Amino acid sequence: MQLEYRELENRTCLLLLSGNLDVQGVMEVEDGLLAYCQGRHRRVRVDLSETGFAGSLGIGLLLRAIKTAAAQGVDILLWNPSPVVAIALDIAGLSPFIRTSRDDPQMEAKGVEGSLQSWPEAKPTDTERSNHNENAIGGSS
Amino acid sequence: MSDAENKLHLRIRNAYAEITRGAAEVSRWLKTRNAPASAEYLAVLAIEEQATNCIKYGYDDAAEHVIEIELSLSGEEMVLTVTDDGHPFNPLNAPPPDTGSPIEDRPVGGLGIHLLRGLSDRIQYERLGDRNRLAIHKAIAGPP
Repeated sequence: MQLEYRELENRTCLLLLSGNLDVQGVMEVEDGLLAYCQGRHRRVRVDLSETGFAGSLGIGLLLRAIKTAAAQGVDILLWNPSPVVAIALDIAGLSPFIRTSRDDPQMEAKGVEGSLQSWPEAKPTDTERSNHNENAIGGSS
Repeated sequence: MSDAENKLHLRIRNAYAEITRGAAEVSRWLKTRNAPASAEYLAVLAIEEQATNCIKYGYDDAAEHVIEIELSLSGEEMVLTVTDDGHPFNPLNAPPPDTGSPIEDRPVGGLGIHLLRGLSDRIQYERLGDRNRLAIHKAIAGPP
């Protein structure tokens, strides 16, 4: 599982999760994902278009990211999940946070689609990691 | 396709790396039989959920245990069974999580069996001797 990061205008960050959000995948990206939700950005968009699978641990991680962002007043959305992942997110009660590219003209206007493959691997700053460690929400799925 | 070709029997050990291996094998097997993506998703989810619970809570010892996975495809149904020798545990007794409460109050846990219920057509639990057996049924459209 890879987490890639892109800084957009208006204090928006776009996070691309590519691979499977399974037991192994969650371990690989959870610190980074939660670190980006700590309030440095006004908006966080989590792109799930390349997430092939999200199990209960993975969906639990997305819920933790949403709760973390909400607690900091950050507007967070899950963007472009595959149909099967979208159904699972809906069952988990996360459909209010799902958007497609057509729902988000700002993202389309910025030409986000088609440029994801070339993103560098996401690396939260030391400050973001520190904030995450201090404010991490516990719990398991 | 013969009956044998439409059944898969896997044995994985109680280790996290084994979940990934088992799920990958099931995923490959279903893909070669053109099973719908929703069925593949459910099968992988069930293996991850049941095996993770088993590893986390199923045993008091550190010994190696075997979790058995059986998958079958008929013309109209996929059936996945997961059998383990862990403590008696019926996941169907778990109350559903409150998925409608405000996000700040939303519990993070309890999603696994809720997802399995939502994505399958029928789930049965049995305690057979010293083993738990969970069978998950899902109707699939057309021949596999």
